[in-house]
Amino acid sequence: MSLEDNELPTEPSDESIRELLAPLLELQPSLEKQTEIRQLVATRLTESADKQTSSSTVRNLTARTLAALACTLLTGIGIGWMLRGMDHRIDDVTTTKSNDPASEKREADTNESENILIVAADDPQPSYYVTETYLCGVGTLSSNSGHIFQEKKQ
Amino acid sequence: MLTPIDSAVLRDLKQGNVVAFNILVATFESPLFRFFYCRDGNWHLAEELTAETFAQLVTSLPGMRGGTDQLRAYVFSTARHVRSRYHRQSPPQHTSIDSTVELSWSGETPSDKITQSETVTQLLRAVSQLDSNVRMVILLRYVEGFSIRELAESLDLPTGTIKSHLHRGKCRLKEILQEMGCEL
Repeated sequence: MSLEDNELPTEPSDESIRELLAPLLELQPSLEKQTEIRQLVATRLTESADKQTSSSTVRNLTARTLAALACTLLTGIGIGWMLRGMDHRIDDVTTTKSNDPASEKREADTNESENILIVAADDPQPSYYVTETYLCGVGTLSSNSGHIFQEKKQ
Repeated sequence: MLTPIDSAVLRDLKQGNVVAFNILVATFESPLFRFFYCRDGNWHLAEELTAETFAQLVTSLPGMRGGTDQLRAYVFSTARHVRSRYHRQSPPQHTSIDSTVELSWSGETPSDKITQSETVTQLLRAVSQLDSNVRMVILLRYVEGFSIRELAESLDLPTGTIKSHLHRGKCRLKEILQEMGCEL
């Protein structure tokens, strides 16, 4: 085997490659294209700025609309809750009256003379009543209804 | 060699400043054009892809992470993605660099530059015989002055592969030039 066969291929120095390839630096796009590139970039930048402005406007509008909707919804829920609370209070009064044995007795006693649930004596129609017990967050616990007839006193 | 862009210009670039983008274009238009031209050998396509890369940079640069050290790698990485996207839409045609260079330089080069044009054509003919990845590594390293790290980031290749391509490319280029009767 000769000495030459054992030698690895020697790579040229970085500097010589750099010098050799230096003329390639002359390669550049045409002047027309260079102008076109600058115009294209300017156009894209303007479009990008416009897009950012419009998207921020849309974002603001969306945020305001959402805030208004949320306020309306909350107000609605609040009013609904208040009205429901008033109903409960009325029902509670009625339930207390119907469930309390003392009051029942009182009612029975009163029935003989005058009952608060009984319609006016001169009302020809029988009176209808409903008694319900609500528990907040659960709903109706018990319900009682019926007609109240008044005996006509001779 | 590329003009370095300082951190103030980079900040303006991220904010979409026109003046900063003009500096970017002036700095990178020729290197990007050479990148595309040496890769595909098509003058007009190289011009189009260069323009498209800048258009892409307008959108993507505001989200760029890192400082000026990463800018060159970022720009060429964007260029690589632009080229890949283009070739996904229309597969590359095998164009010979020789014929394109002669066509391109014949109309645009003044007569006193004919010799220079011929030298460039000869060089491109030699370089085009290199494997495409090896060719890009050699050109970016010795024409554009990229570091090994920048090459790895731009071409998305491990540094070991870059070093191997550099060694192989230099040896092969020497052989090609000797075959063509040039001495290195």
